[in-house]
Amino acid sequence: MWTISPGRSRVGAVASWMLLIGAGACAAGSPPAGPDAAITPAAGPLCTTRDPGPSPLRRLTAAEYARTVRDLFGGDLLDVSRLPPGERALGFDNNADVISTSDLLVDAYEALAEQAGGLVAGALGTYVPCAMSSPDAACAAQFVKDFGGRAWRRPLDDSEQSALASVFADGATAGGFGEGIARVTAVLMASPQFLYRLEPGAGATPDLPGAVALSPYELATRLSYLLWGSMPDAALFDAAANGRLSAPNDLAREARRMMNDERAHAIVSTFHAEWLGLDKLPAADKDAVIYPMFTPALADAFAKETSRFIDEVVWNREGTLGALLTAPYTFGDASLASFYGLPAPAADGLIQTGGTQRAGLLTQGAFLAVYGKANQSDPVHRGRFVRERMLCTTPPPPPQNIAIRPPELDPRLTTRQRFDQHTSDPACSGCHELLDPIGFGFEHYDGIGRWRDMEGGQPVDGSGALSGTDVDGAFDGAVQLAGKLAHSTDVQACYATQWFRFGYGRGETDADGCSLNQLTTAFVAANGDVRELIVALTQTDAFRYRRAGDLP
Amino acid sequence: MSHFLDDRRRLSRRTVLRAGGVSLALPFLEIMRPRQARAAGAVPKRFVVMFTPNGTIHQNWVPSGTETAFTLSPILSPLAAHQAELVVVEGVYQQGGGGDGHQNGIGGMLTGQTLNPGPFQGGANVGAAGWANGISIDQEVAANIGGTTALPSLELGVQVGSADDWGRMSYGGPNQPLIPEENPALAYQRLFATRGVSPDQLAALRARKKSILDAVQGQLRAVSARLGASDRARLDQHAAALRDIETRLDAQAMPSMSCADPGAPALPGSLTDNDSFPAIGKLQLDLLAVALACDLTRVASLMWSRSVSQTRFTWLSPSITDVHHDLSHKPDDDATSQDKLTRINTWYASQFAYLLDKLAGAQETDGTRLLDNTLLLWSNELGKGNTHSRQSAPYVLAGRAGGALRTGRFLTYTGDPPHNNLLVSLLQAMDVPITRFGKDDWCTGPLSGLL
Repeated sequence: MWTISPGRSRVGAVASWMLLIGAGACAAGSPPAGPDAAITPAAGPLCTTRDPGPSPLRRLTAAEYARTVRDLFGGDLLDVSRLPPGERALGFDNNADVISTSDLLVDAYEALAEQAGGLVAGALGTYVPCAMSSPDAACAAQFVKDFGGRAWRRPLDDSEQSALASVFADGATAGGFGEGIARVTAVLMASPQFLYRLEPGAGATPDLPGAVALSPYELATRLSYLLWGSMPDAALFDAAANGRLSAPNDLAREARRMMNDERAHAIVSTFHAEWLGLDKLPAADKDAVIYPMFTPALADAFAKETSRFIDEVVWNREGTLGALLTAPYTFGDASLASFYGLPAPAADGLIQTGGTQRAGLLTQGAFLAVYGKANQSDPVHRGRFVRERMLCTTPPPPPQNIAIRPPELDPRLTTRQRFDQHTSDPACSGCHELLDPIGFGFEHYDGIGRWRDMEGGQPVDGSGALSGTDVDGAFDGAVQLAGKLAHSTDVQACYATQWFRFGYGRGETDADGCSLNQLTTAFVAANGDVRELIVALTQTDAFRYRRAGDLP
Repeated sequence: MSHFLDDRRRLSRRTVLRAGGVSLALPFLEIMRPRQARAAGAVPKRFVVMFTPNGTIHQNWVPSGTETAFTLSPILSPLAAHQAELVVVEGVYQQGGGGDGHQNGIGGMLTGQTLNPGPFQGGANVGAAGWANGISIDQEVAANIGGTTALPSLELGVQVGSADDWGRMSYGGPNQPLIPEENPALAYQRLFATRGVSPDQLAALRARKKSILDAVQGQLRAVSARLGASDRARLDQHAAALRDIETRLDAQAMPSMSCADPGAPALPGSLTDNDSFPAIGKLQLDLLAVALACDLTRVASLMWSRSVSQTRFTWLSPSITDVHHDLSHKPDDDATSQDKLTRINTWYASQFAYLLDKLAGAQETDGTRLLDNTLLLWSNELGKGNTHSRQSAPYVLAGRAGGALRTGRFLTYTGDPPHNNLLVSLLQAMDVPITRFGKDDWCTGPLSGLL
């Protein structure tokens, strides 16, 4: 029996599940117990002791860097294309546990900093207003205060200001006022105070023993990168400066304000793209003989569809995870509608899907093509997505040292029939019984997401079953599957966990039970409203504090 | 989560470099112009690693014959012109641990270490893993011989596209993976940034950059004191990278007679399109060769794709449209797939041959060929793709390492000696005074009979 004792956190539950079926069943080749042998659905994460959890040092990701310099300089004025992509773990490319520092990266930072120096020196009237009337050391000092305070996201202290005054003086001696300003700008932009989110903290707090409070500016920065993936705006700096950014209510107020800004859309979009793995779509490589209609234009239409759908659902319509999974509408152009076999869209691109073949993210071309093989559908990886990314359980991967034989195409058989070995071979079945019965539910969609009623001369069987969840049972087709998942507290808890990972830039630990619990509770109470979940992310101990032990 | 932050090794090598004193500044323009006068010293040694993914087809890879009288296999046949420059090593066991076979295969390939705990979820039944737990041989070599060149080492990639365990093979130390540059244009920019700049301008630029870097280091030190140990350790890594930039301002070089600015590379239409793979690869090999020829670096590596590569070899004739990794899992009795995999690995051998051609064609100031002073390692994260076995991983060495390696040989080992031993021998061939490398209980010393 794989019963997971109550009193263990979700994290522990996942680990022990892996231990039980990972090491034993699959590798040894002995027939394992089926998944219906009671995986007790993990209850919400258990809150035992309040703890902010770890706060590994975060560095601006390439995307955050790009947005930050856009806000800092008022436009896309630096060539950020040379920044290498961030390390990716747990599906997200902002995981602070695995950031690494190569010379290549620091080279790029340095070159960009000098570029920024040139930008500012070339437009002194814009960036250094006093330069027009009095280009002198006092003006430079004012620039250090104003621009430096924005670049470093907090006021500079005296010694920092005086060090930068020396930089200015050296530069001005070598090449005049503009050169001094260029060097100051370069130093500000190449310094870790800009590149990293440094949090020395504001000292011990009576609220939470063992923790330190964050300074108002550190909280402003946490808020701005959580909500916008960029630096704080003037209002946020103002709230920090005036003591209106420490209570939970303050954080919620600012979060709600910031969600009215376009910049919040980009973050919600990035989260879903990384959660769903949709950034793999442009590279999705399909067999041109089998799928001649999978052109770059179609892939682009898929990407636009899902991106707009998420945006509309979250910001303009229901706002809920449930709707993301089940909405009987989507957005696209006539060619997309035609690909889906649906009537042409309305003028604003709205396509009514009717909800029989298409409803929600899991039935859209982007998802189905990413989780589709080059020449056939892909029940295993579609099922694995649901297990891993929607239920936060990691199915044990294939055993080592056996030859994996993905079934060959056979015009006389359906995919389900060809994958039969997974259930007949005991070395495979233990694991695949967790994946395939979910993945087979997608069999009406081929490798690029096209609907099919027949395969291999036989009617498609889209029936499947969920096990080990709070919504166990049979379903027929992905639309029904999505309907079940939309009502699952396990799915809501997992979605909240994914936001925890994305929002806090780290994996959850056993110490995060209270924060995770708080998120899930708030999310469920808000009927799965994504915007309320984002507000809830600003209310946890993980967001508001650091461990005292992390500081000197 | 553990902290991935042991910086001691890297810092110590930097410390050594700094202690060596700042050498005479030498503008790139000067570097570009080979001068007999500077050839007074010995021609430097170089070290190169080329990685190709997903294992090989052993029976089509292994040569036949004796140590010195052997016939190259089908896969290695493109290297026929260079047979006298090769050492083919059969029977060495590539150690690795943590994560899945591809994951720890590539993580351990050059480090001889396991993967640390971490969040990268692999495809094996041992759970997630993090970065490798130690420095890789290329970086160990760079720490010893890379000190005075423009770049201590050059990491290049061709559609690696995976910023995680599977896409990293070089490590500056435990948990310090190095990012390969995948864009030839950016690689060129980095190598030849100051071409066409006059010595006077260059001196001014250098002074300016130094003043900026010094101020940044000052700000970094000031804020570090207010941070906890793990954050501080991360900033220490950043500081080390800044010092590298500064060291580079004082680069010296002993360029070969064949050093010439190749000009900015003409990129294919798309860097991510599968079919651009060979074109990007050629540009990167060209840059790698010229970087060595111009002594802009003495240590270089190239990753073709990544472990678990999804490349489709559509440009081969007949075209292969299957995904490489999918093919690599086909069973031994699937002759069609075995043939495709053989052709894929043969194509990779031809790329290695292209690089050897380039290095053989570059003449040093002392009349030797660049290849004579270079040691190359071509390796793979696996031995056999469909089982993930790392028994008899396919190692091919090339170049004479300045006379340290006797080439034109085919060596067969039995009893699965650990590849750590091979790594030790390679380091010794590069004059790194070391008798053990990587995870201690895997390593028993140099690989007998290699050097």
